[in-house]
Amino acid sequence: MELPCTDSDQGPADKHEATGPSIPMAQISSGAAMIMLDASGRLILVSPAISTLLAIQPGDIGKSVADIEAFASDAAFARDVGRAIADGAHAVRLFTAPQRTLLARITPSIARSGEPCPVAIEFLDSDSNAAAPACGDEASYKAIVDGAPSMIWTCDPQGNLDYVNRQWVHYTGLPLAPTPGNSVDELIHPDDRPQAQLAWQRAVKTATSYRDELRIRRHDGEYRWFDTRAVPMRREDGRVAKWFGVATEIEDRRRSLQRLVRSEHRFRNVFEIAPIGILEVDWTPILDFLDESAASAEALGNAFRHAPDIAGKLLSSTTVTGVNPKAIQLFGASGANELIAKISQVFATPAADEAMARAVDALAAGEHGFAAEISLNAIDGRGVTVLLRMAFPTSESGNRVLVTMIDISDAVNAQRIEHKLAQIVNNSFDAITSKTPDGIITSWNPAATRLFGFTEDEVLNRPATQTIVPASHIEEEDAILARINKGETLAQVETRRRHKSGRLIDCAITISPLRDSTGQVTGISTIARDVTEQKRVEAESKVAAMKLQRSNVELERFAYVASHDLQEPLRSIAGPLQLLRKKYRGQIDENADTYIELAVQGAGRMRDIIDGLLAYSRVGRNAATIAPVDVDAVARHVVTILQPAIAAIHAVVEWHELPTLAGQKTLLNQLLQNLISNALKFHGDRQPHITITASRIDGTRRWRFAVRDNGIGFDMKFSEEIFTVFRRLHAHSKYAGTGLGLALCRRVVELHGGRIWAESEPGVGTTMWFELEDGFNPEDTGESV
Amino acid sequence: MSFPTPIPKILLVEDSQVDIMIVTEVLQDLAIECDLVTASNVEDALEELLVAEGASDAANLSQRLPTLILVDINLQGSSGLHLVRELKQDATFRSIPVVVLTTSQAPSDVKAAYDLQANCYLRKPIDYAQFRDLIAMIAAFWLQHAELPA
Repeated sequence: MELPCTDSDQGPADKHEATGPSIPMAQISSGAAMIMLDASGRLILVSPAISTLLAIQPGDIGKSVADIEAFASDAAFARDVGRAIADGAHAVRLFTAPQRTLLARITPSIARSGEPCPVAIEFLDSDSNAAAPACGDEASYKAIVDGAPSMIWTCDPQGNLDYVNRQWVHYTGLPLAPTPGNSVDELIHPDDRPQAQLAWQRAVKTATSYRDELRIRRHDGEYRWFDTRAVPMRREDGRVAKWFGVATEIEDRRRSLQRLVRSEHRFRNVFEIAPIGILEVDWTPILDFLDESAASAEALGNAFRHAPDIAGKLLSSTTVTGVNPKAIQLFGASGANELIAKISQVFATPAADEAMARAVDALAAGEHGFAAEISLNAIDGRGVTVLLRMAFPTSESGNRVLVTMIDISDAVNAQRIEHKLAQIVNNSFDAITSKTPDGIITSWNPAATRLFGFTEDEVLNRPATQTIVPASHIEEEDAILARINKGETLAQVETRRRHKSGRLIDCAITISPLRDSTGQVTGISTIARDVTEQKRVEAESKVAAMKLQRSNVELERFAYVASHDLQEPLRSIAGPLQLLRKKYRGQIDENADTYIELAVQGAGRMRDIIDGLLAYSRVGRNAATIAPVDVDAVARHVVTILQPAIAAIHAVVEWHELPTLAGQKTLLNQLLQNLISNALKFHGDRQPHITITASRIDGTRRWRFAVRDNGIGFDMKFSEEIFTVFRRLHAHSKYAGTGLGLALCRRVVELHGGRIWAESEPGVGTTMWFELEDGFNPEDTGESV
Repeated sequence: MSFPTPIPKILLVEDSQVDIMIVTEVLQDLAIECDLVTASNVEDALEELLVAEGASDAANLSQRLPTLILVDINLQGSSGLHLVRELKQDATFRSIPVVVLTTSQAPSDVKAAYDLQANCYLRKPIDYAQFRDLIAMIAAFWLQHAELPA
């Protein structure tokens, strides 16, 4: 706005020379110092400025204005105030305070006709040096105007300033510079100029009052906020004669407003995005009820408990004035309106009633708030468990109660799960205990009592090393704790624990760390199982196995030693017999020759048996050399050795593609030699035909061999017996043999991780089946004598 | 020859009467001309050898060192292997061929015998004919073919 300065050159101090029309004081806006009265004339609000100016005490609030010393002295003022309250009459008058004279503007609130209304009174500090002027005295007005803390000016309809007051000069630091074209625009903050110009142009165009808030530059260059107003003063013909303007500094208000806006914004944000449900509830009916009844809180608390209808009425008369998005979500509402409309349904639970009763108790007890865990109904019918907190009304919050709700349904569910787990633990057959990372026992299930004999009370909060860990295992326990604290889990550790009676128990324990949500090890859980019985059984079977092993070893040693030691006496029988036969054959008589011959044969058979026994007992006694064995070559070798026997009976021995596999060559040699010998020995009337075949068993490293003959066969009821030592199916006279051949075969096959069995049909033939594991690593071949 | 070739002296260390009988019979059977001396245990055998060494009377044939020693392992008292050790550690005796002739088939015995420098290890056959063939081979090798120190 262009406000050209006037031509008159006035010093700021020269108030008496100020020119201008009578100033309509009703238009003066100050606001710097004001009080408010309610419709009964009681003081309800005092601005800080006036409370300093008139020495009004905080205790004066609520008193009738007539009873306040500062106001009581001026009867005329009191009368005008009374009229303003009663009739809504505006008034501006000088107010004679005990120490000074002020200009008072009495403004009734917009009153309904005939009813008293509250009144606001603004005071302007008049020049304290001036004598109290009489109303209507122009010089006095001028003095007042010049003394006013606001900047005041007048200008002609074209906007040329023709008067500024002392404050204007004082503030801007500009003398009245009547240079034409010198714009006061530059006094306005550049950011505020466009808006100010628009408002001014509109005011001028419509000849209506102008008002704007803008920043005006002070003499030191700082901009401060002003509430700037201008009103047109009209001539009798209605045209605008002058503009009368007032600029009141509102820097403080503006700043506090900005703070408020910021703070409101922050709180609004918190309200909107908080992860907790928030309801704002107007508790006026409850607070009124409390105000009205003497034994208020108790009565109301009881009402909530015992007279739900009253409580319900009270609660339903409170109104929810705000809900935040989280609250809407919490209760499954579609929006704020639905939640507010159905809020009584949400709180229609016994828990809520009880909580309200306790809340009122708390309120009555002078507490600032209340908290409870309660179940509420979501709008979709779900139960929602919340931790509900109420902040009771304070002087700042009026009658509003803030209700915050944190959804703890998950936590409650977790508790339920925990309860289930607890049952599992309690019913577990295994002893389940927990300890602190230092080894102090913190939980103890009934199975632990059964296992260890100690009751929960006897062990809780005591170190495990003082109860169930035997002294001999304390070091082990320390080592275990150290590992668990590093985060390891130890499964099925075999150790010993002490029963209350002192007896040691063999236990298998599984120990694992317990962690909190951050992963920190905060405890140790131990599951212990009594393995005393299991250990006993294991020990027994180990003993049995050892006995068996020892027995086998002893048998083998016996067979070896026996066969070895039998050699000497056999020699002493066979040797002389042979000398006897050699030297005396045909010299005694025919019978003697027969006897000697029988004895020599018997000694020979005995030699075969001893040799067989030696061979048998030697299988597996010597350290094995596992090497690739060409079974085909073994078969060739065996057939060469047996060639005389084969030729003697015109037998045919044939084989197809025998494999090479890792094994012990000497033993495989013995195996094939025994099987082929048997097939040759037990031939029938047909030409003996022996076939050897082999095939790999799919998907394994095993080979299955078959030695098939067309001999006499045998009854399958002997199919197992034939593999036992000294078991013979035929008389010596018919088929020679020691009864050790197949027993040796079985040993050889088993030593190669395989098995051997027979299929036979008398008169048709026999098939000896055996399987060998290629590269089987026998474990019991290390022993030698 | 100006000097008659001395007939070989064989020391048989054997406690089995039967085996002594058989060896004697076989030698006769094979018509091997030799001086067979027997000792039934290790101590007697050593005594015999020490006496022979001390006499050094070439004229007394019965007190010569043996040309060949046959030793059984399983003897009453010390093992025949002990005798082998003693012989092979002695500068005078170690050049005398020692044949282990035994019933033992234990591989450990076989290995031990050779470890102690026995000249060979043979198993006694039970069958007389086989025994005779074996002795024939021993005699042929050690008494006829093998060149031995004087």
